[in-house]
Amino acid sequence: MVQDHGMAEDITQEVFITVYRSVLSFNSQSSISTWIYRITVNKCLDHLRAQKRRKQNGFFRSLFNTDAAQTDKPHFEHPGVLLERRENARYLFEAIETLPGNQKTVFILAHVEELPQKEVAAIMEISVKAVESLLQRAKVNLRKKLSHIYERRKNE
Amino acid sequence: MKNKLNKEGWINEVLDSTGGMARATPPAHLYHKITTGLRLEAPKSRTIAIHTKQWAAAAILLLALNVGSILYFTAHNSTGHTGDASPLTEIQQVSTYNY
Repeated sequence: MVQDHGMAEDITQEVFITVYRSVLSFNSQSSISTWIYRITVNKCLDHLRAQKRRKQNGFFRSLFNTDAAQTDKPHFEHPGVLLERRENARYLFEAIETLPGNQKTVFILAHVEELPQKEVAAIMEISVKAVESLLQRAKVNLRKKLSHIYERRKNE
Repeated sequence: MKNKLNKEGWINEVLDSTGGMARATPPAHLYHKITTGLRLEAPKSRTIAIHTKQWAAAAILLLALNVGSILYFTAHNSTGHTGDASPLTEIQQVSTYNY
C-alpha cells in the first residue's frame, strides 16, 4: 500500500507496538485479523498523509531553493509478483499510486490481497455496498490511468 | 478497432497481474527491530499505569475532603440555628472556656 520498503518496515513495527499496547482493550466484535488489518490500514494512511505533506513542503521549498534535489520515486516492484507478470504489475502499482486513499485501500484489500468484500467492509468500517461502489470507481479510474500509460508506452 | 482491442486486452492483463501473487516476507532484521521497539515501549506503559493510580488517589482525596467539609459545615450550621432555644451569648458560642 505504501510502495516503500523502509516505510513498510516502520509501519510493521508500529503495528506490533500498537497491538501490544492495546490488546487488552480489543473487543471481540470483529476477528483479531480484521482488527490488525484495521490498525495496519490506518497506519498506512497516516504515513501516506505525512508523506504527502512532506512532498508539498518540499515543493514549496524547491520554488525558493534551486539546489533542492528532485527525488523521483523509483518504480515499485512487489517481491511476491510472478516473474512473467512483473512488468505489468509495475504499471498497475504506478496506477494504484494515483488513486484516492479509500479507493486505493479497497482495491488493494479486495483485488490484490483477495480478501472477501465482507471482511474489507469490516476492516474499513463501512458497508459492503460502499466497498462495491469504491471498488467499481477504483477500477474505472485505474482503466483511465492505464490507458494513458498504454499510449505513453506506444510513443516511447 | 484492433488497436482498441489490444489496449483493452493489455489493461485487463495489467489488472490481473497480481493474481497468484505470493505474500512479501519481512527481512530478518525486522524481528529484532520490533522486539527492540517493544522493549522500549514497556517502561512507558508502566508509567501510564502509575499516573492513573495517582490520578485516582488524588480524586478520592478531593472527594473525601469535599464530603468532610460538607458534613462539617452542615453540622456547624445546625448548631447555629439553635440560637433561640438555648440562650447562649456570642462569646459562649465561639469558645467553651468557662469564665
